[in-house]
Amino acid sequence: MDILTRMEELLLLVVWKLEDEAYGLAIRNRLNVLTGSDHSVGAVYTPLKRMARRGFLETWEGDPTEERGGRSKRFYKLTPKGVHALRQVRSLTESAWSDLPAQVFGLTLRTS
Amino acid sequence: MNQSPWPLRLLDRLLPDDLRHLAGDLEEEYRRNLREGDGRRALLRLCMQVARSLPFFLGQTLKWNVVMILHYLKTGFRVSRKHLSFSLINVVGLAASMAVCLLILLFIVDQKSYDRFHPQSDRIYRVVTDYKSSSNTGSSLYATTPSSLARILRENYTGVEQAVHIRESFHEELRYGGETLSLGGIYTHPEFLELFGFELLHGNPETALSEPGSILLSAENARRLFGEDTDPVGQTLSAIEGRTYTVTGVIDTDVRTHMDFDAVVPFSTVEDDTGWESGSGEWTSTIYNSFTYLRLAPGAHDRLQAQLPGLVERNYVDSEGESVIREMRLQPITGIALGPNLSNELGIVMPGLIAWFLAGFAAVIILIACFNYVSLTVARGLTRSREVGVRKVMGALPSSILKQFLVESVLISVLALLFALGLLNWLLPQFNSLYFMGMTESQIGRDLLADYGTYVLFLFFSIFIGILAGLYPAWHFTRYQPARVLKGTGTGGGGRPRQTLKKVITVTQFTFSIIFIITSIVLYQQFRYISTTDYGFDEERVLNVDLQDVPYDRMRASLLAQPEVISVGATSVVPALGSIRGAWMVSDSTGQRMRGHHFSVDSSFITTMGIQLLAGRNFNHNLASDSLHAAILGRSAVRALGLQSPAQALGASVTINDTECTVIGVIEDFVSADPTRIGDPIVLRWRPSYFGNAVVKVREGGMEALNGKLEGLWAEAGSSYAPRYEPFAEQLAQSSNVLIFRDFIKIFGLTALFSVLISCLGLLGMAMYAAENRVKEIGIRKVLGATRRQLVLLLSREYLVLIGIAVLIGTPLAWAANSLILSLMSNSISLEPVVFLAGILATTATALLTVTSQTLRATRVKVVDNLRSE
Repeated sequence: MDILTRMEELLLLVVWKLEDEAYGLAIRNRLNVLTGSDHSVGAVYTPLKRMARRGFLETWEGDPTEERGGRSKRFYKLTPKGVHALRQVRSLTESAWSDLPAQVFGLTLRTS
Repeated sequence: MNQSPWPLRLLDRLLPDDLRHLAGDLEEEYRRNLREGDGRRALLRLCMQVARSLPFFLGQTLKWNVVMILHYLKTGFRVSRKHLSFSLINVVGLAASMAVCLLILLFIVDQKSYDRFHPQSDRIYRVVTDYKSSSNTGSSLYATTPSSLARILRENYTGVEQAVHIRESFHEELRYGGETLSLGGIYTHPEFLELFGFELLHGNPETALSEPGSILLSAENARRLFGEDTDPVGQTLSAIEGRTYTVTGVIDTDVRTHMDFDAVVPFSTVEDDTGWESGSGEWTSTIYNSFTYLRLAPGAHDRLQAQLPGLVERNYVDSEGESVIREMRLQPITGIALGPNLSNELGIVMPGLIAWFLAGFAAVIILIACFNYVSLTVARGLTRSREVGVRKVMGALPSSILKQFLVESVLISVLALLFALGLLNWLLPQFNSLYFMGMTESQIGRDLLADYGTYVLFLFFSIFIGILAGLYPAWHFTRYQPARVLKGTGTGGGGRPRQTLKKVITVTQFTFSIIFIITSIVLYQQFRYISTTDYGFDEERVLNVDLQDVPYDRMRASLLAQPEVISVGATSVVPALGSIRGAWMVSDSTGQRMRGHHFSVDSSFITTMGIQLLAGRNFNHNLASDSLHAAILGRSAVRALGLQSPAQALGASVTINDTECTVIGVIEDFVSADPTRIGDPIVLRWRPSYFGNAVVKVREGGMEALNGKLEGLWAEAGSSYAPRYEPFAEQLAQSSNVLIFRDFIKIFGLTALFSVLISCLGLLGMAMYAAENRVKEIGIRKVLGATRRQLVLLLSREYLVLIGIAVLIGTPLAWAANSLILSLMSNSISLEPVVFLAGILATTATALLTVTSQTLRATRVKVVDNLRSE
């Protein structure tokens, strides 16, 4: 079973949410809003590329635009394998969070 | 259309095409920011973003290139293996020449590391001066300064953190127990140990130079006096004059420094003894042995340099108020070794000229090896053209073809480096044993070879050489036009230029080889000539005794009492060993002041040395006037003074150093300075107070017996110094000018050998390749009845023509160069055509042997095997 890192999980979710507009800058902006911190190009691109190689994402090049200095966009889209991985992570997280003892450090945790 | 901001243009250059969309993202973000706020902030944010991602970008670029380079390496290895003989030729040639380069590189690195061990060595300077004097009428710089300079600078100039005055005038024979040592050293102030980084092996640096009568010994001398591993601090040494010194420390002089001294003594010692104050008084008398070293505050150099002319005007003027120092300059202490040639150095310094000279030779040799690579690689173009064509068709850019061939040449050159390192290990001791290395005490340390930094330097060097060698072939291949290559109609790169290039390279290589070979032969002949030169005196069975403090008359009497001794003479300077005393001479007939070589001798010097008297008489001991106003001239001096013939010169009046003298005799010239010079004007005078050496003529077979007795005779003479005597013939054979000449020959000889061998290696490769390519042609010619001789001639003719051209170019150049070298020496051979013939023949024969070995092999193959494959 492939376990995604938290960063990978977040990225996949962002790509999913952005639907047809999931390209580098949009992904990074959304991620920045989501986490509240500024991520660098490298920090976003490296995991995206890794997940594309593992088959969680598919990519294609858009048309070059003048706004980008004649450079094209690279779009990302979730593959069924990617969706599956996300689901797995979610169920893993949920099962890991369940059955926790009610008390820790004298605090009462509310488990849903 | 708007242009991308510069960080992005840079990224475009840097990033592989695969990642262009990242730069696009950045540009889009930048423009968005631009619309929202001001441009400066947008640019700043862009830069921040690029900077943060830079490690990632660099990693990606590197990775991409590494993949390609690995691929090129793989092809490179395959190509080298497939054409093993060519690769071997290239590797061997490059390795041999690279070893020479590495050696010179090490030499320079070693010299450049001198005087870097001082704290803040980059801020330590030495003051050098151009002092006007009768002997310095031009402008030559001295390493010395007026003795008061250090004090003046320290007290009056801001920016001078420390100024130390050093005087190189300590010469004493010191005794401890039964041991006597003759030491030369320096006087200085206690700050010496603070300014310089010399360490004390024993003793306290705070107090070592504070007491009068203290002495710091060099480690070597301390060992000789006190033995290994003893702490000599507190021991007392007695000097000849009854003064004693207390050892306050042992100083480590085994460091890379331009300074040379055996001992350090505080100035307070002499101030205490003689009332002679170090920093003032009659400074002109000590200007030739007083040194000033400074440590400046950071950035103070330019300001101080600008203030120096004013300082000279205020302090160093003669009675007419004119400054006696033309120029005063700050010289960085790290620039002394391999720096300009200065007079009166504190120790012997390796001049920068030598480094240039050696580097020049190394450059020629490595160039010849690079030429081999170029011509062999380009010649094989036909074989490689298909590969290049296919690569281009598949979409390779010119830049990737360029990269591929550069990677190949760097691969060969790094391989060569491995062999070169082995060769270096053999060359290093040879180089260190050269005389000029020993003379300046500058051995290239083995410690450099243990330092990984050296190997990094070597690696960079070999990569550089690889790129140098590979640049032309790489560029050449990028011009191939795939369509024409693949169709089989040539390379599209032009066949003729390639042929021309090959020819030019071969001609250049052999031109150099011929010049070097001829020069080596000429220099060797010249060396043989000067070592068998007729000195004009008879040095056989002559023993030279350095008189030191023994009166000549006493030494002469005790020597003459020995049965082995025939005669004893006196002279101020022993001739032909490289050092002379000069004298200004003027005669009435020319009125021109000229410089002569001045010897103070007695009448038996001429007879003892067997010098031929041409006219007039020898000095006469019974004529008191002879010791004042008599002079004996050499034949050349007579001519130079315009006195016509030796006989006519007798009785003429000549002014020698302001003394009016009468010529009483004329002798045949003898070698006065060193054997490379002949016909210098010589003047002999009888001045007993200047006698410094006794020349002793010994009976046949008596040399050994006298040698055994001299210690005893010396002791009887009551000298406080150790005896110094040597057979003249041995001194002549070991004189420094002769030994340096031998260094020259070794260096030239090695260069010649390398250049011929490497050039021939290249020729071998070319001939091999040509023979391989023409195998079918040879087969057909053979079938049609060509004889082997005809075939060899056919295949070798081209090379014969090339070497012929090289001979035509090289011979006049060699003639010119050698005439120039020989014209620097007045005692020289004349250039003989036979030498040139020998050099040309040697080169041509080696080259032809190389070529025919290949052509013969090509004609020997069986025709059937060659032609059957079609």
